[in-house]
Amino acid sequence: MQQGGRSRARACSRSDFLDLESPGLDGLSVAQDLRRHSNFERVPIIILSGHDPMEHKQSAIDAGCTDYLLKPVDFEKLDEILQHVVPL
Amino acid sequence: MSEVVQTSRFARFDNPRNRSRQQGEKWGESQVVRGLGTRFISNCEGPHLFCPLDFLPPEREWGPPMFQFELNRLSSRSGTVAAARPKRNTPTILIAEDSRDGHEMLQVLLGLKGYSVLTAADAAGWSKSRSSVFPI
Repeated sequence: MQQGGRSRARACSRSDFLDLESPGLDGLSVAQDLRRHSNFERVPIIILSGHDPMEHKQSAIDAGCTDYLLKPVDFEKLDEILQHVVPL
Repeated sequence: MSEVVQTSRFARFDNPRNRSRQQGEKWGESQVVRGLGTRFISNCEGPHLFCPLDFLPPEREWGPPMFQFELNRLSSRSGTVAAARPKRNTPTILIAEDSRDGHEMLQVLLGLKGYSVLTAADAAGWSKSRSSVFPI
């Protein structure tokens, strides 16, 4: 029980950036899978994709993702997201 | 209209392990563009390391290739080194991205910002990185 609590606390300070379509690694499926586990409930997950966010962002949010970042990466937008979800 | 306020030479190393100034094989240019920060101007093919000479600490384990991305923290040498040093208890970011250029660029950028960064290029790598940092 205590170990689970520590794991959760540690996981909270971490974040995942997932590509939407990597080989054998579907970002949305991974996000859904992660959200099922208690250790990953509060870990921010940001999807990186070249697909139009108008079409795909909502499905990413529904899958449990925190935000959606369009490729090529806009560094100002990336900064905004980082400051919001994993501030230093 | 962008205004170039400073142009500097930087070394390109075909082998990241050979990162002393004498072993730099080719030269490129970086430009500081007003309002946009520092941009690295060069071709980036293969596993090269790009590093502005002014910011090349001899024993620093520099990250993978980077070019043409904004690095405002490179505006001063001390700021760069301080930003590049890993800190204790900093957030860890796991990047799962199959594009090598993509994940390496993010790795360098986030590392310079002070985050601990892990990368994975495929499902196996992601699973390995995840389990080492996020124990289930």
